[in-house]
Amino acid sequence: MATLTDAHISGIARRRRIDLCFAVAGAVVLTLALGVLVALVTNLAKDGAARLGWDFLTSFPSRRAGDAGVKSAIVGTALVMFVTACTAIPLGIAAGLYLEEYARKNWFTAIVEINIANLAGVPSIIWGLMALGLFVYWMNLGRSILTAGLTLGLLVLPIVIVATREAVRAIPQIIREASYACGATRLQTVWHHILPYSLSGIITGSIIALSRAIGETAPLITIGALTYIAFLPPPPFGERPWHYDVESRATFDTAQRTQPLEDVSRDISGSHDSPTPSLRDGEITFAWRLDPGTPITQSRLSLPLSSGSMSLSDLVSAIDADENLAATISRAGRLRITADAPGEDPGEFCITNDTTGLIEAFSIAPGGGRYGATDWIMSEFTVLPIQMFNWVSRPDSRFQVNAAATGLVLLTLTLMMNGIAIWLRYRLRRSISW
Amino acid sequence: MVTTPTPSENTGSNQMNAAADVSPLVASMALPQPLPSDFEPAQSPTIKAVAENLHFHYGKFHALKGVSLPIMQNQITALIGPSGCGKSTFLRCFNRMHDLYPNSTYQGAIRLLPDDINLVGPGIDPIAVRMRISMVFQKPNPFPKSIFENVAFSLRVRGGFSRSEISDEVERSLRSAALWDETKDRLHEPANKLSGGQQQRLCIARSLASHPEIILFDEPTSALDPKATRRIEELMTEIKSQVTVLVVTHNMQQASRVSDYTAFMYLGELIEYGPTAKVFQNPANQLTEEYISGRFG
Amino acid sequence: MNHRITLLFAFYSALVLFMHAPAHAQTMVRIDGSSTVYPIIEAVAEEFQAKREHRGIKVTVGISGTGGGFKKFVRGEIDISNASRPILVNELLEARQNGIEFIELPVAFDALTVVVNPRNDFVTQITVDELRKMWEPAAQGKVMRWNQVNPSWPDENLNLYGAGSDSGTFDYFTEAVNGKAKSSRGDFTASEDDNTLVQGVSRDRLAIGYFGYAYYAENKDKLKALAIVNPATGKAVYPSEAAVKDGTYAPMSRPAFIYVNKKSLEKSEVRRFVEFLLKEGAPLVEEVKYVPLPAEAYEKALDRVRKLETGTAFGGHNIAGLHIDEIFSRPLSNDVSDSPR
Ligand SMILES: Nc1ncnc2c1ncn2[C@@H]1O[C@H](COP(=O)(O)OP(=O)(O)OP(=O)(O)O)[C@@H](O)[C@H]1O
Ligand SMILES: [Mg+2]
Repeated sequence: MATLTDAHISGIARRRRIDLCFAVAGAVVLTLALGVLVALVTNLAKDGAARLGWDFLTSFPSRRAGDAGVKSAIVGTALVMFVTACTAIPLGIAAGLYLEEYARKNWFTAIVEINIANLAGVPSIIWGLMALGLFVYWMNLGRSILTAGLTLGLLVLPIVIVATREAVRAIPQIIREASYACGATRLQTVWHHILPYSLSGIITGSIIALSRAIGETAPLITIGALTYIAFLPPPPFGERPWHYDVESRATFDTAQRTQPLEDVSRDISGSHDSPTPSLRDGEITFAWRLDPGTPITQSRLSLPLSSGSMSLSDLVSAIDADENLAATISRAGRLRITADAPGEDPGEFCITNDTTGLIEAFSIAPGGGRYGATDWIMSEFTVLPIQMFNWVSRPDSRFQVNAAATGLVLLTLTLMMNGIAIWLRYRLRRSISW
Repeated sequence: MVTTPTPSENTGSNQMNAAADVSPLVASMALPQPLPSDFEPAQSPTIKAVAENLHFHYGKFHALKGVSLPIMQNQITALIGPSGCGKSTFLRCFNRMHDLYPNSTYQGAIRLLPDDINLVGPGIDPIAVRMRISMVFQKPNPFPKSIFENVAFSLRVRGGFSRSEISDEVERSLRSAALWDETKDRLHEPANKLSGGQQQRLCIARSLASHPEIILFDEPTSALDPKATRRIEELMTEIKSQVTVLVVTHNMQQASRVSDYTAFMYLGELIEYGPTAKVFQNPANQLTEEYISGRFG
Repeated sequence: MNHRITLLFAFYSALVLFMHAPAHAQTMVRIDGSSTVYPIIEAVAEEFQAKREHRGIKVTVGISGTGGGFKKFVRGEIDISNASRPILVNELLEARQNGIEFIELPVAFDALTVVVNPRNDFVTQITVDELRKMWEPAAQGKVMRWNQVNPSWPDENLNLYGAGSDSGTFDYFTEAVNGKAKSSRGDFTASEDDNTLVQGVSRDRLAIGYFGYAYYAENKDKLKALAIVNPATGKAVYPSEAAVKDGTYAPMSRPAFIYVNKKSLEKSEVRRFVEFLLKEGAPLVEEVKYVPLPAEAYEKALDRVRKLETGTAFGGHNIAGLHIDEIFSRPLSNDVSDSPR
């Protein structure tokens, strides 16, 4: 061992200085990055916090910035992310595992490998166009949550694949050999060892993937995500509302005025479904029921509607003539029809006559009943970034506040996803320790 | 400098057809000199497996060049030789570990007795081989799971064991590996919390759990301190009543301490094979002597 | 650990199996298209659905852009297409190929507003000729100073701000000023987001730019609108509801349209929506800072709906500066016409 010369000593000082420089540089860069993040978030919070509240989260879009909310967008984002996660994560893991543990390393897998890396760099709008052709037109999946989820799933699939491969590669070969030496098959090795040990890395990659997907707008607009949508997708097994389907139209002329039957609604309180008159071959059918789940009561009136004209009083007497129905005209000019269904509580209907127009006649579509478990997946939707995009470009500056609040919601969702990932990783670390 | 030895007479003479009749095989093969008259094996040894003119290629690289060697049942056979001579390669032929990697080719045979199947022959499922011949590696490599799960895994891959059967088996294996007393209260703690020596014994327990016929040890103590090394050596001696042991080692004392038979390999060939005492005290080959006396390798 | 994974796997497979539940027909009005027209339709849709008698009717509105909306419209995927310009030749042809007949309905006006910075004290009005001098393709790299456009203006830098080339605003402005849609110089600050243009002009004393009236209306303190000299009368007219309605703010008043699929009108919910828009839309149009059509124009539009008069008045061309009466008096045709005028 040589003795330390002065040159060595000063060399140590120099090397320490370099070390310190690096540490300082690292700290500076970290502070800068954090600073930018904090600035962005505070800026967003400053602009958006005022609007952020329960009613913002539970209101549908509106032309009035103060009434507008992100209900449909939150639900849309959550459901699209769910479909994305259900496609990208299993497919990505499977593909990554296959490439690492099963595929022979040859020119073909090399090409596949390069292409996966390339796919991760394809602009998202290209994915939107591809999805439009593939899912919307070719597979006929419509402009639905399913299409959106699959599109984003494909978009982020490469990220999951790459993350899976990296995580799998980090497992020491000697662990694989130990498993095979115990007589395990490839599947057993993957299932009992490779997958559990790489799961924490895969989860991290998957969350990065979902965090990218959650902010995408361009491909979703291409495949037809909506901006204004004031209803939610049908809940699994939720009750299917009655559909209004037009059977025919007729002009209902009383004393030189056309009497509309437009406002057809139940005039009693409660959450009962609105009964609807239906017109078919000159007949009006009034149908109603008192509670969801009870059978529909119908009363059919033969009215010469299609032939041309009928006076309001004729209508009243025609309705009165039905054994289940009674009609009166209120002082406000409302035609009130009371239904007294045998064996059931009386129900009421209202048909206003205060606007002029055409008779609209509807029938109740067959059905009612309940939605299937996955009907929601074919539903129309909107997502948070699209609402944000829409509001940012509006002239009314109060919409900018909404956009900022939406940004906060999006940020919170992303943080929540990351939180879940951290928790999952923590749980996994406890069961797997190297 | 060492001159490359010519392959010993064995290469041409051991085209054995069946192992049913093994005594002439032992007599004729791989023993450059007849056994000394004072050699008395502990019990009369039967042959558990025999390599016959085994060649192995890593792609184009010819790593084993016609190795023929018997492995005695319930005995410890040590493989020694300078680094890179093919000991591990030879060992890993026994459990078809090479099949995990592409471009590995076997020629010749390893016959497993008494049922006489060629372990490296076509049509033999490597998984079936590994279920009968287990392995302990150079570096302790317990799975990052609990102690219990590590041992249970060998049974889980087989399937069809009840919970209680599995825990009985785990206990038996841990006892055989002299680890039971240290771990019986912490079976569900991570295996990685154990010390290196304990981890290696856990790996031995794991390979014992499946009731293997042969256990392959590839330098099992090279990562351990002398004390832990002793434990493993004792363990090998203890388990040899249950199982045949084939061990690669760089430690000459270890080979002479624990093994009953020793094989010396050099550049992919078997140079000398015989009872350990014979090989160490009276090597027939110049190279063996030089290697044992530490003049190269 | 592993049985949990197994459970997840089972759940996932069940989900995949369930997926092909048939979607049921719904009472829905599907609308897509221009983001310029979007605020109007959003307001109408909101109001429409708030009405008790429309309970159960679902209205959806997208913003794929005028072109994107027409793409869906001519395939029969949507009931109504919002457009900030008339339907063009290709779209007409495609519609005919797919057997889609439509009813063209102007629903509102937007006053394209030419703005300068409030500190700009030398210009209060501008002629179309002057605008053309600034914006025509030949001006690129040459007309760089205010006095090159009008010698009475100072010899200072001329900084141009305009709509991005994908927007209907750009199409209309170039059509009205340069006589050909999309023909414009390229060396100006362009943005698809009008708020960016507002910011730009409000910070630049030598700026001139254009965008929809709503953006000016919301930022009157930061911007100064110029009066446009009406080429027909020679009178300078400031953008205002009255000027747009009486047709004097020409040629910068641009109509916003909806195109309704004739077949969709058989669905009562679509008919009700369209009629609601034409009958009760005017105050909503005003509320979102667009200019409603005169009441007679909405009557004429309703008449078109009742009589199911299909076709376009524009022959597949983007014609700027038409008076609302002209739009309704021009013959409707489902065919492409040769000349724009
Ligand atoms: N995967 C491989 N591909 C190609 N050559 C290999 C591979 N593994 C080993 N070799 C070569 O085969 C020869 C034998 O290697 P092996 O590992 O069997 O030696 P060893 O006797 O076990 O050495 P050590 O005592 O250092 O472990 C060496 O020359 C080595 O370089
Ligand atoms: Mg080795």
